Amino acid sequence: MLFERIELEPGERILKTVRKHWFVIITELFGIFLMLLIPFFILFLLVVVPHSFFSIDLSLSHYTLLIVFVIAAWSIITLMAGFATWTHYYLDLWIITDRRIIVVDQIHFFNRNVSIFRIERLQDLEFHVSGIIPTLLNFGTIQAQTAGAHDSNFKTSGLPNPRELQAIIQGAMDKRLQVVHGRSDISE
Amino acid sequence: MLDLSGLSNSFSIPLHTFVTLAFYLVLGAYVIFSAIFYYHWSTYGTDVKVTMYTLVTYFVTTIPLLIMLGSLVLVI
Repeated sequence: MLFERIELEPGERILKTVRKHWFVIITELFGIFLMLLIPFFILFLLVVVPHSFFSIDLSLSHYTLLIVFVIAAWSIITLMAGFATWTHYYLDLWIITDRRIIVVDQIHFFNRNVSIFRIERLQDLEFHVSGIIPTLLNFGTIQAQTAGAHDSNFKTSGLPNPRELQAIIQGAMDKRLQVVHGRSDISE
Repeated sequence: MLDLSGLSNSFSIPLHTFVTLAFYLVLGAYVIFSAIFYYHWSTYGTDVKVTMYTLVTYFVTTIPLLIMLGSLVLVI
């Protein structure tokens, strides 16, 4: 399992684990569902459209087994696409601990980025909520920038409740800076 | 109506062979995908319950379809 591989530091606590908003996966799975219906739609068209429209004889009853075979094969392929979509959704996550932010970006099965940055190195954290549906359902894009020799950006779209997420990270950062630098004026 | 009887002679692959080839193609893709799918969930999954439900749902929905495909290859 993933949490066993991350190896938290002694005393490190996971504050929040965030995945993309449910609307993101529902939209993608709905597309897959429509794909699943394509052969039925074609069959429907062949049945509904008058036979005289075609110049060839398309008696579907002669090809019942072949049609079932094609539909079953198509269903397996579509189901595999659906489960791949679910995998990419579920394994794509932000893990916020009181010391680090771990961004796991599951792009494809063989394309996986895991970025870890310490919370005290965080320089800028901003979120964007743009569009009617993201505003109504409260999800958006969060972008984090860290200080370093090479400026690093971590950007993920479709994260739920970005304002709360920003507050959690900000709170964790303030507490961490107090611990690291012994500064009490940070949170004021 | 157009007479297609002459057209059937131009195809060199019989329907049964074509269906069998298609079945093996789907079976191969399924086996490879299943192995990758299982590896990803068992390695990168964060919740044992979700991993189990996902894998069970995957195999419960796909294996009957695969059996159906195999059976149809024998019938067609």
